[in-house]
Amino acid sequence: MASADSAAKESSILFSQKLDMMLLKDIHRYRKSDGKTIKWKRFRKMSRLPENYTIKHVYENFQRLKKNYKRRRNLIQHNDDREALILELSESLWAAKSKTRVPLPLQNPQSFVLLSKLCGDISMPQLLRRHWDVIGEANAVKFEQQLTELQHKEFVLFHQNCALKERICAILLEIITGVKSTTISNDKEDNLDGDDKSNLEEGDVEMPDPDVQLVDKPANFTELRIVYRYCNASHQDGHNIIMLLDEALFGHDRTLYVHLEDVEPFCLLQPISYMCICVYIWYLFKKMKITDKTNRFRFVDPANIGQTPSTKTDEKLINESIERRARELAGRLIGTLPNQTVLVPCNVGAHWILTVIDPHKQKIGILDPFYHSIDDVWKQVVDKALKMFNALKQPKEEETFSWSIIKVPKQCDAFQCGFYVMKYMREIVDFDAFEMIDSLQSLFNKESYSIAVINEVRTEWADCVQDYI
Amino acid sequence: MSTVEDDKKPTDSTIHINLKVKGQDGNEVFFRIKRSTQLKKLMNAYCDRQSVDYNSIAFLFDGRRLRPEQTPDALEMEDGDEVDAMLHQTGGVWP
Repeated sequence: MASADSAAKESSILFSQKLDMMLLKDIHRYRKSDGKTIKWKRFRKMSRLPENYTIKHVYENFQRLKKNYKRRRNLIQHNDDREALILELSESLWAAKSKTRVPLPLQNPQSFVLLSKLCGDISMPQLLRRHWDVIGEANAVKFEQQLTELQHKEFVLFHQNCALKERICAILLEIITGVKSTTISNDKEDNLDGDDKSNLEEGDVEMPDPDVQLVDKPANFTELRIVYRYCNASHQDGHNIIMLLDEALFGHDRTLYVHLEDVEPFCLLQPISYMCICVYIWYLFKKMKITDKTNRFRFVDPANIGQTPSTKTDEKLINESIERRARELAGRLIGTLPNQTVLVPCNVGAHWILTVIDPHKQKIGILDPFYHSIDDVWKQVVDKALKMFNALKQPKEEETFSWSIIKVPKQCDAFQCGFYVMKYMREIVDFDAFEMIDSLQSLFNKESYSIAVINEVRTEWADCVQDYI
Repeated sequence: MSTVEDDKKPTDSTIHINLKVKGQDGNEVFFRIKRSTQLKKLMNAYCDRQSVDYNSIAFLFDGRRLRPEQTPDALEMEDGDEVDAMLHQTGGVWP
């Protein structure tokens, strides 16, 4: 067992280095996010690093990690299976769990099989896809061949060596709980060296969480739980989840900061914020990238076109606000390809609706989870925006906007419209019709969505956020 | 201009701080407040000026959400720091 112990120690060191590397990435990300250099002192404080920890340390550890990585590769070549496997797993689990962070390619198909067994909630194709992104197309083909060969053989190591299995499970759980707290503390490492069993119990993510029990339907909310716990734990220090979005999504750079204030209502099926909707749009966009559908749809950032709750009611201000919203919307309509459909989730005053616009055919579909009517102010905004869009078109056409109200499944309470809008978007994105607006109605023939359907959407949402923890 | 003002400056900059509040549309508003003043005042002033509902705006500093009872001192804010004002409006159903 001596070698297994030393291997475990090794991986625990590796794990702390991994955190350093993560930190380094964070710093870069932070620099990028605002174009300004963050003050190291403040960053150190935010990340709860010791006082004497300088930026030099991070870079040094980074170098060490790189060296270690090389060593690991040699181990695999020399067929020292056990040690190499543990080392590789500890790293690759990271890559699998958070594809945005330091995704190191797996060298050994064996560990891939093991990995897929351990990550019960991530399916094999999902893993493969993430892995594909990391190692590139040419390597992936070769790797998958090796993998199929391997799957035909019995993977004896995993079944025979219980101690190893336990060890790896412990590492996995440690990594998941480590994700949750993201602290570089010594006791975390000590924990890893300690008794396996206690570790397993302590870090078991399947344990019911009393805080999240409030969700009324029993479903497997592992992802949502992790997200909620993370936000709850980091709320006090003002930490949050930062998501950098592609410029292609909304036509401009956008950084999302997901706070407890966003996540809590989401867990409780209460009215949700812009942030939640944006996160889901980002999820859909990433999915569309894989299926190569990004040029079929275009999303509008709900933040700038929504109704701003104002304390004043004078007409001039309201008109100004309509004008501003129309301009923002027109900015996104302009430049759409023919046959590209624009999806506009919009907050029309404490209520979410979805508007589907085909600017070239001048057709507008309204999907309202509560009322089957058109909001007057919102109609003005869309009309104005379409007029601005038409003004650029040559030759001029007659302006005939055709509005249609789609009879969509209705929300069953006074809270869930945000979730319904998310579900509508999902249905539309999955559906691919040429005459989009005309065939919309055929998509929505249900009276209402069951809670299971909404939960599915919520799980996808949490899965997306989880990657950024 | 006058020497009196120049003499005042060093003490002034230790008490006061200039903060920039940037809206989602890129609109910037500048504030000068005491380092020991609760940020609630700045938030209220911003909402008043933009005539938006106080509850519908989330103020972020380095991505962290500001709480109204915090002060620039406690947050170690520095002169010229930027605060983001993000719309935080939820949607359930029309009242």
